[in-house]
Amino acid sequence: MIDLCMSEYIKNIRRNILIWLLLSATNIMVLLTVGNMKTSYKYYNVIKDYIGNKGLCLLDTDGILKDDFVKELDSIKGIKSYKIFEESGLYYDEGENNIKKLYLFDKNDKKLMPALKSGKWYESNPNDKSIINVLVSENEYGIDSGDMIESYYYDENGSIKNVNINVVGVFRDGERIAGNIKYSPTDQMYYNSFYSPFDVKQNEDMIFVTTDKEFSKFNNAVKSVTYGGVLIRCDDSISDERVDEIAKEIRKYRIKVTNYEQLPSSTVEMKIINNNSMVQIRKVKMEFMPFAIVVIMISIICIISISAVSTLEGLRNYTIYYITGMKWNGIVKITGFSIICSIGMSVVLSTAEYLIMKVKFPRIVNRISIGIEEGMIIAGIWLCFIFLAIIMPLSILHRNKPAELIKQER
Amino acid sequence: MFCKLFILNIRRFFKNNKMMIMILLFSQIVSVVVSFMAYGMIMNTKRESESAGYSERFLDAKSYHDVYLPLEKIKPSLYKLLKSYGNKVRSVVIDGYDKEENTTIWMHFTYRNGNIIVDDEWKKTILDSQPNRIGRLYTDDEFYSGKKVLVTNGGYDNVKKCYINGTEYEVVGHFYEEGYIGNKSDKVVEVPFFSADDEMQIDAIGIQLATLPTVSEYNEFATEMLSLFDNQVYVYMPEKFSNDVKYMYKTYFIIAAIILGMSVINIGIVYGYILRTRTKYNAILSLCGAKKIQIVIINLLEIISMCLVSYGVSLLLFNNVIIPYGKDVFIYFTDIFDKYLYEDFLTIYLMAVIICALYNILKVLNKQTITFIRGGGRK
Repeated sequence: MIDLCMSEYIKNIRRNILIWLLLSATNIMVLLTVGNMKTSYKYYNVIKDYIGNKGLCLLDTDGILKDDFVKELDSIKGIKSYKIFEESGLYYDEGENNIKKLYLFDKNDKKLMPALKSGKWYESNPNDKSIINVLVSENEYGIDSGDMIESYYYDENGSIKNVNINVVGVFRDGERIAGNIKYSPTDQMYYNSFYSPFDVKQNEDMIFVTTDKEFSKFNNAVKSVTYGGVLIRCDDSISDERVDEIAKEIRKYRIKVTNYEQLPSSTVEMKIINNNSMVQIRKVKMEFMPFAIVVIMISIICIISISAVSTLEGLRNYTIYYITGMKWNGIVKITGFSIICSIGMSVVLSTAEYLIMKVKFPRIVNRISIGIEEGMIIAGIWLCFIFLAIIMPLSILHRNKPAELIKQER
Repeated sequence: MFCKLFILNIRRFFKNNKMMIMILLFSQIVSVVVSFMAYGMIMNTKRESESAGYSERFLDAKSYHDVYLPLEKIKPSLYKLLKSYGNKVRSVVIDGYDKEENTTIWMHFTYRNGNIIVDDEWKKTILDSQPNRIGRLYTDDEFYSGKKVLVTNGGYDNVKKCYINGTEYEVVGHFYEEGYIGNKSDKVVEVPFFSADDEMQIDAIGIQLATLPTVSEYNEFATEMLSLFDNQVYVYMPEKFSNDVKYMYKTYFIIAAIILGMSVINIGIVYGYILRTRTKYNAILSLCGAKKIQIVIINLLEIISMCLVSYGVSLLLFNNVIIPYGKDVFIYFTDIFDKYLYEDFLTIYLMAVIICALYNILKVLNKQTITFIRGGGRK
């Protein structure tokens, strides 16, 4: 039986190669489409717990020490949780000059680390407290991945500590950085506003990026809040009046810290950000919809045509096998073997295509993630294919007499 | 006879291979629609990134609703900023409004070596983009001399004089389309900077730099505007076009290319099968004296007529479903597609189909007679 299955498969090898190509293309296409959709929402997903609920976004927060601010927020009643985008400074010498901003990615933001032009992100040896790993923006200083730079930082007591920073990667201009928030009309803020693209020329200097885990190696280093970098989620049952009061309490604290009585009231209600985010998500969905429809349509039509052609071309042989004593399950075995081989080969081919794309288009392949959703869609397409390819010849054989099928004009 | 055979062939084709015909037509429609979409998206992204590149260099300030300042008050701040940015300034646009006349006022110019001059780049763009204009744009002499002239938008073709803040201006041209800024009743005028009265009411200032503005350039602009409009103004921080968006569109192209490849393979499989079912029929035609070229033409005409049908259906589908659905997202779609582009696409499409079909037909015809004689047209 295996010999027959093999000989049938090899006899139709040209058609089978086309089937490999079609199935592998379908696999890659599904991965790309779902991956692209997931990538578009990734910034929303990280902060959806905050912007999707009652709360506030504080704007003029740059320069406020994070630890002090955390204490203040913890003391305010009605705040359920908060997210703070934080930054620190690294110095090239022991003066105030040559300060470089260091953006810190917390554990939720870690998966949003900027894509690299060169190098690869990895964490440093946790036992070696004298070195931390960082990423650097494109720069005019000639700092590249692999460079070790001697630097300084201020601790909470105001004393200077030195540290060696190991540059493990360089990211391009235009990458979104957590906490890089641009000044824009507050009524237009949405989820991407908290992750604006960084441009070295616009900011007139380079920046460093690392994780809070890596940064925690610095003993008592000063961490401050970025501009617009505080998202507050209030208790679910909180009244609008209480939310206003919270905004006033925070403002009072900020006036105390900054010593600036005229501090503008710059808070944005989460419902505004959420509404703008929903509009943006709808736009993204609209962009994907035609593609998703075409992907589904072309996959279905390919499966139908492959199954139909395979059935019609193999029908004569199947009829002969049937006449010569083979049972229905024998035909099922032949077609089943052919399908499993094709699916297996399509997986091999898809992997090869994936690896080639990884070399040729690494930034695009980075958008692909193989998860449950993708697996289920691909499995669904395979099941469709298996179902049609087995059902079609059987239904034709059942409906027609073998002699009629043999006589049919080719 | 030839025509009869051709029609007979099509009828026979539709009668015997309904499912295959449907699959073939569907694949052809999908490939054409996907080609349109892919092309449209490439051009749309190109234009979007161009316009993003344009807007990402724009320092823009727009006053709150109903807040205006006379041009007289704007000028010192404007000169100060222009002096500071120097030759980095690419273009400047000032927006004003005349409530009584219900007229939007625009002033375009640029700044070189300490002087406000005519923006030749803008002038060229506006002349190129307004082929249906009536009259002319103001001349350089009129711009520098401060002569009271202006151009209006369509719908005011009979207007020879125009009043802004009570001052009479001669209308020298009608440029912008009717309803150019959204409403047919909105009147837009383009006034040379030096012709504008000091009392003209201004609500927005945009300075486009040659490169992405730095934070300090933005801060300088924002500080000046906030103090000028007494905080009653929105100042936009230009943002670089994100890499994320660029790569999203690149992924679309790859998906579109894969879909296209799949449709082509699919058409190849189906059409190849259809041709293989014809070996006997073609062999009979050949034995009855039909020349090879005649059989090729019969088959070609058949596939071309099918292509024309599928192209027509695709066109209807694309124009009536995809474009209206996608025009909010792919904002340049309506500009990109016109009948000339559809004609070009049809030519390319037909050529590709003829080449592929010819290859397949000749492949089958080369062995058909002998195959038929050997027995039943088996492989």
